Amino acid sequence: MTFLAPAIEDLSDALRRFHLWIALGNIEIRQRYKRSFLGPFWITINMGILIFGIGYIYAYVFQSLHSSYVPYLATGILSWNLIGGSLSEGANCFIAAGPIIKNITISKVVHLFHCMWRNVIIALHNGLIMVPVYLIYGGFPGWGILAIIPGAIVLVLFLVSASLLFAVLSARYRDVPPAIAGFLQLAFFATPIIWEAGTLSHHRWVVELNPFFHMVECIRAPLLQGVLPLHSIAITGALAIVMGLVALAAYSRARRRIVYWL
Amino acid sequence: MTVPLIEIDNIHLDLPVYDHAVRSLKKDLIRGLVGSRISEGHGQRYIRALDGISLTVREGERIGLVGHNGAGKTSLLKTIAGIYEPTGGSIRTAGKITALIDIAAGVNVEASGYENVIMRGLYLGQDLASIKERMDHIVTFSELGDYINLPLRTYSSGMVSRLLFSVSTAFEPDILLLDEGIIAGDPAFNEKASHYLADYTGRAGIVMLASHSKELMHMFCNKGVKLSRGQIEAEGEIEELF
Repeated sequence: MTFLAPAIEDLSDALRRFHLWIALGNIEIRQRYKRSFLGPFWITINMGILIFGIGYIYAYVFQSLHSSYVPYLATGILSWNLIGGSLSEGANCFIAAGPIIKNITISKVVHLFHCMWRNVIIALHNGLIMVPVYLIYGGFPGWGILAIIPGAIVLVLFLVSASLLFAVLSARYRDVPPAIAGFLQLAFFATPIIWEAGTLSHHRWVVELNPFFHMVECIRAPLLQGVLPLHSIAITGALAIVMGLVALAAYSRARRRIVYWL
Repeated sequence: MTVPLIEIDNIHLDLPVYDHAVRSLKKDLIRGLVGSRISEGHGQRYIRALDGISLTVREGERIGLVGHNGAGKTSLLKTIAGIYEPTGGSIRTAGKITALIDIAAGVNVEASGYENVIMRGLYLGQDLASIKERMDHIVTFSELGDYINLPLRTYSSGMVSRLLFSVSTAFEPDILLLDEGIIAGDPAFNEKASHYLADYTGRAGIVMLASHSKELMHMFCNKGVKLSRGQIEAEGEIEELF
């Protein structure tokens, strides 16, 4: 454990500086939409266009009812956006913060949290789309929706861990970010988000073995059925712990050298 | 209160080079012109940026670092700041360090001056309340006036420098590390900045400035250190080093 001590030190230092990364994330989001009338709500609107547009058409493709397919697609895409967005941006967080790392002495984990916070804000804006979805198609799960809190916490823990590992690898090996982007694209189509897991019938094991399915479920199940998906949360949590330890080990080894890789 | 101090004992710094496109001609040119030394080991190429530097800097000293491009000025500042970790030797510092080395680093050109002050202040470890408390001082000292609410892309480079200098000194670091890129270019402001720094080192503080300019050195520093090929070539009165 002494080997991990400096990494843990950086981690807790970054946690203490929550003012910094929260402010940085907020300013960035505001900036992106600064001169637009609707501001960050463009995030929500674009999500709405996607969900209602694709949902309307694909419900026919899959011959399902709009009232069940659109909420399913909406919750799936909401989860995926957080997962895919965090992992691809997280992998780039040290590279993007290069000028800062080379000039300001601060725990490098701050840059990861900054990136993660920005993705959480985007996810919260996207989440607003559930209001019209529930209003139009019904299915609001009542108090059960609170199950999203443990689900989201476990998911974010996994995303932070995985992003830290990817960020270290990406800073050193510049082939990693495009590889991750390609892999995420495959994962999006291979995971039941647009299509439903039930359609696989005999081949459902493909879904059960897919970690992304469980990550998506951490958010989708509470929003859709108002239940706590214990099985999926347990798997995501276990992956978070394993990934977290690997990431800390990699970061411990690399933390002094990252500055030279940028 | 900490008494600011920098104690450097025989440090070496090897910077790894990860660009495999560096050809031998370029390598030779760099060796001849820049003066750093390039070595290879374990299939990895290194530049020896600092080569056995020992230096003690005490409170009230304003050190001017002189030397050619590549002599190790910036590397030394970055090592003192803790951005680079020395490959060998030891370095001990006491006091809060603020480094202002690259003007473009950590500024957001789309954000307003005000927002940039907040962000920089947070990076420097301040909380929102104390940054806002110092805001008036920063705006006055940087002479930015209403520009503070405009995005940084509307600023001249001199204005960005003034803003950064003002933020970096506003929270009274014990040790201030500066690169001349930050202060070059605005004579009137330099005058004010140098008085400020003289006053500040008078109240116990350390300033280190890397520069090529004799004029800036005279204005800002009371002692000089000349670097060459990552080593200290001479130390003493600024006049003697040029």
